[in-house]
Amino acid sequence: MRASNRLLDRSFAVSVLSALFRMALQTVLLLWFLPGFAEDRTGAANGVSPLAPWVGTWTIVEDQPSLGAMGANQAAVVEIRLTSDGIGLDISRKSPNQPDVKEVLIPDGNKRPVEEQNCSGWRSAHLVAEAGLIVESSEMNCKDAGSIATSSLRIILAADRIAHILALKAGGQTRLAVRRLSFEYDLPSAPDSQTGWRAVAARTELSAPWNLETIIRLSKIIDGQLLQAALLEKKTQLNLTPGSLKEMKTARLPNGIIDLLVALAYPDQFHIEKNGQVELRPWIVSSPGSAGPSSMPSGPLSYYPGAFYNCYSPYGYFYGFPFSGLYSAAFCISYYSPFWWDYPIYIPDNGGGGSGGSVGGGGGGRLTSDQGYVQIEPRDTGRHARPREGFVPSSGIYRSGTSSQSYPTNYGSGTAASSSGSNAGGSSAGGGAAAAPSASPGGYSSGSSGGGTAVPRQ
Amino acid sequence: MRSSQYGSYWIVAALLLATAPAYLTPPLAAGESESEPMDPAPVPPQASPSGFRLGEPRMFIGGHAGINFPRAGSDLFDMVTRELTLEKSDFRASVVGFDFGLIFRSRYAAVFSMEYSRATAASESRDFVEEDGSAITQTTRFTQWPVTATLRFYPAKMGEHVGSYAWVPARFLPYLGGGGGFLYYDFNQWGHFVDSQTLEIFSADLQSSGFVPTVHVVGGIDIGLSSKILANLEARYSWADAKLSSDFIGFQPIDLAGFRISGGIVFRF
Repeated sequence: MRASNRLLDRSFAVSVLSALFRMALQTVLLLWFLPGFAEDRTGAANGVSPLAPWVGTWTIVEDQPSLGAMGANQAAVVEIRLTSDGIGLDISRKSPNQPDVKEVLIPDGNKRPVEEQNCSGWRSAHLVAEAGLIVESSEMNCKDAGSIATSSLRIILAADRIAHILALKAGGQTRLAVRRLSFEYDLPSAPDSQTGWRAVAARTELSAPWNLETIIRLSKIIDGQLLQAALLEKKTQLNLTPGSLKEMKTARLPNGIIDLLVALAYPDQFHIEKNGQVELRPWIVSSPGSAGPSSMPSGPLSYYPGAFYNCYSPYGYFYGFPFSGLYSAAFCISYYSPFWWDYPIYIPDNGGGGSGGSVGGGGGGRLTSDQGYVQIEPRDTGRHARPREGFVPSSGIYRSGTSSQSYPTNYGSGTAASSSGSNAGGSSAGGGAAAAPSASPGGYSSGSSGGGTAVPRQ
Repeated sequence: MRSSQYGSYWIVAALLLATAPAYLTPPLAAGESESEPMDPAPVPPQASPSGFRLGEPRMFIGGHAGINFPRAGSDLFDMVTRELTLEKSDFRASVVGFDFGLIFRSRYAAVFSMEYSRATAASESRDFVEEDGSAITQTTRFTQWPVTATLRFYPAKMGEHVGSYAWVPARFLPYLGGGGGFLYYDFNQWGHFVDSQTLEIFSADLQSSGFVPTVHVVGGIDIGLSSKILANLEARYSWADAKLSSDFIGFQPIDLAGFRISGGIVFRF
């Protein structure tokens, strides 16, 4: 009987093990054949370019649709494809009636000199693949626009959304501009790129919220104001704890970043304003010989990627209507980039520290070293008391009654009631000692006759 | 016997439960370096910070309870403990108090306190009895009501700023301090007494009371239970004396000095 039970147990165990083995095998096979499972979602693991998630056709999201409708080319799209060698991005703005605006971005960390007709300087870009970022910087000395330094982030915000955050440092000012692009469709002629749900999955993963470790790492390589703008764009919300705050301090995260992370974690307790944003207005240009506005400057034959041009250059000037005259003290530049070409960057020459600007309209003061991209103020609760209708302030005051203190009945043999201690400061009035009971270092005194007589204890 | 043993266990268990938050709350200590893994998933907006504050606290209120050990060093206490069946320990009393503090410069606090203690002891004439042998009884009540201001110095900062808004409180905050104020005292005896000259038994109500200045030194520790709630342990030694009223003739000023230990809860905001 015992042997048969043991046999049954053994066969049961074998069947369970074999079932488990079959399930594991099926799972492995299923996952093996599932496209994209084995590869790194960033695409780096199996030869797919880590830049592939950026590939596609994108359209610019209008910050100010009403203004955009006035002059910007509504049909323009931005195509991003891999370069033929796969190490860079070939970006071009395409519009039916306009020449292409092209740019090649190679995020390999190398400084590349720019020597063009109007500008000289260098550009550099590198990829932070795990954070969905391309970090760029440049220094340009341009004939039209003067000396301008830039730093920028291209960031994947969502599966269908990227943004370019551009910091311009020129004329003693730093200004930030944010350009958002929305995914339209895959490029049909991109056999080596990730397409369809795989690209969506890659962008979704890269757009995941940054954790503190990532933010600390990025703070070492990205300008603080740019990082602030990126945190805002990503709507970063950390679960803050004393430990995470300590970690921020230990990592020497700039105070502006810490404050923004705190404000974003508790949005109902802080008001965040943006400083130093540029104005982005759509082109309304007129060629010098024409009578009225057209949509874009014509023929950018002499424009070079990454270079800056004066809005009022001979190639096409800022027509100005209805802004003409208002911008007389303006600093208007045009950045030759597929992301930005439709919108000259207007920097008001106010020079001041400045108030915050709204998200869409730009404006705001320039950024200074002690003033970040955001200005954070604890939010007013908005709760203020007001008198009820018909309230008449009372002219009187309430007086508290003086409570009478009762003391134990004085059974003293003296005629005088015991002093009830109102003798503040305890001044001794020895004159009454003969008439009232009292105590002295020698013992107690009745003060007068009366009552029984004590006898010593046995 | 067994039930009383279990009773003590219950008391210990209750005490442990009462103090458990001090051990279970998230670490607050300034200088701690532990980091917690951050959840990469989006987190819903937090209603209020946990374990830290938005902004440094500026004030606190709290209550405390403890025991007052009067020094009882003057001849009044010598007399009453000699003539009556009283010991100096009979003047020990429980204390309850209320504190309001203003915090400044991260290491200092001005604390305004009000306390109340009252010791009431029944006694008999130590050497004499009634002619029928019954005890000659009386009651002594000693009340103290100090209203004081204390300047506390915290050797360690109360917390650490992280950025402009976040403030991480320290977990353990020892402090030293000193101050002064006024003390209302009331020494009251009523009942039957023996005239030391005539052995006459008489009834009397003897009282001396009044406001006197007092000074004190304190040492204590605040223990963070959360970013807003602290447990407080404090020891205080006070000095004060007062001339006695006309009911007490020929005595030195009554000694109102004493030692007090207390524990309490503080709400910081």
